[in-house]
Amino acid sequence: MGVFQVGVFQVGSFQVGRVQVGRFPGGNGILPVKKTKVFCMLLPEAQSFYLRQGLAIAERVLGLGDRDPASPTFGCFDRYYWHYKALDFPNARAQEIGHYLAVLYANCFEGNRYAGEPMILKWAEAAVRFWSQIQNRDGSFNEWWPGERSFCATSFSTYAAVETVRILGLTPPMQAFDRAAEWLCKNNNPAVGNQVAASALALRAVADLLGEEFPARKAEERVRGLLDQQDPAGFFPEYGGGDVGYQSLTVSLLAAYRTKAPGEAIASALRKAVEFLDRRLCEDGTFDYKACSRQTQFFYLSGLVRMREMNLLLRHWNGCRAGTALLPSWMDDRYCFQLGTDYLIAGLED
Amino acid sequence: MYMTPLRMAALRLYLTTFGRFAWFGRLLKRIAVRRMIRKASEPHVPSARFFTPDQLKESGK
Repeated sequence: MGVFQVGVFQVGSFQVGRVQVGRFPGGNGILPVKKTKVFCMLLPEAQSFYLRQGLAIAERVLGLGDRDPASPTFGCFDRYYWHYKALDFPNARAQEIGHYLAVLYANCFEGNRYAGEPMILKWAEAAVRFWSQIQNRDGSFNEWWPGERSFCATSFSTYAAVETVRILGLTPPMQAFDRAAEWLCKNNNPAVGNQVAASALALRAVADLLGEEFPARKAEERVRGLLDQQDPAGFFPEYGGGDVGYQSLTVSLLAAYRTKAPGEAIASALRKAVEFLDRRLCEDGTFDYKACSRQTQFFYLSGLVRMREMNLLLRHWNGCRAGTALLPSWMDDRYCFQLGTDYLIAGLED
Repeated sequence: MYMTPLRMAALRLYLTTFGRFAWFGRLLKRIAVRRMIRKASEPHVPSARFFTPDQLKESGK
């Protein structure tokens, strides 16, 4: 087990002194949460943990995909469709696994045997190709039923596909990106903050990749609309109320957006959003999810790591130490890889 | 409300006929959101209800 070390502790952007750093248990819940007022954490150690947890689902995620180039569904990552044939249409969100694979392929870190592997590149590329094949004629995508035209699936899967293409330097499926962006420009779902943030990020990502101005302007508009909707308490609406899990996701998405389009308004909104999380997240990394509007238990980290919100990260870290924080591998096939990708991004953030 | 083979068949029939038109698709989504989220005593959230260790204590009560 790790030896106690001495490190610098940081709150927000302030370093407040040298403190002892506790053990690094690997999140298996065998050590109790340290119940002292002295916060102990080093970000690189936490990031190493995030990477291990993100990587832990790699084999499972690869197994979800059709990896046979001769198959008509090559690149489909909805196993319930292509393998079990239990569904009559593929869930577009499963194609977000391409983003997960792209992050693994492009980053060499301890334990990652997939970095630089040509087959990973091929499968990620196939994921994007299959994504473009299952697009509805109007540019939208389906998640729960055929012909659904899901705003959620179109937003998140478009962003993931663009990121996959960007990270791997693939030839973009121009028509699919254009049609998805056009559909996102025309449609919105203001009742659900995380989806609005994802749509803005997708539009901005398409604009940056294809060098188009219109989607970037629409993305700006959408972000402004989302910021206008922010409650004085700091939360973004999730069907009328605040939800810690989705708030952490929205913070991650907006923090990613901010790297592409910095601005004081978004920075200020993020500060308020973090204050909401600050009030809800307990010292042991838990939160009363049953009191939240959507009752989600997950907690996205990449935004907080980008913003160096060490106070919140430390509390989540306490949850990891105690084995109470929900990890990517705890989630089902439908949702594990989104959180897994976020953990990888959080672990790789400089 | 749980799905049954009959309900599933009816849903698929709707989706493959009226559901091909965007307006009917949006109508179905509005109804689903109202019944399963806004008006539900316990809102349905797909990405929720995963196991967390604190539930061991709840079941032991």
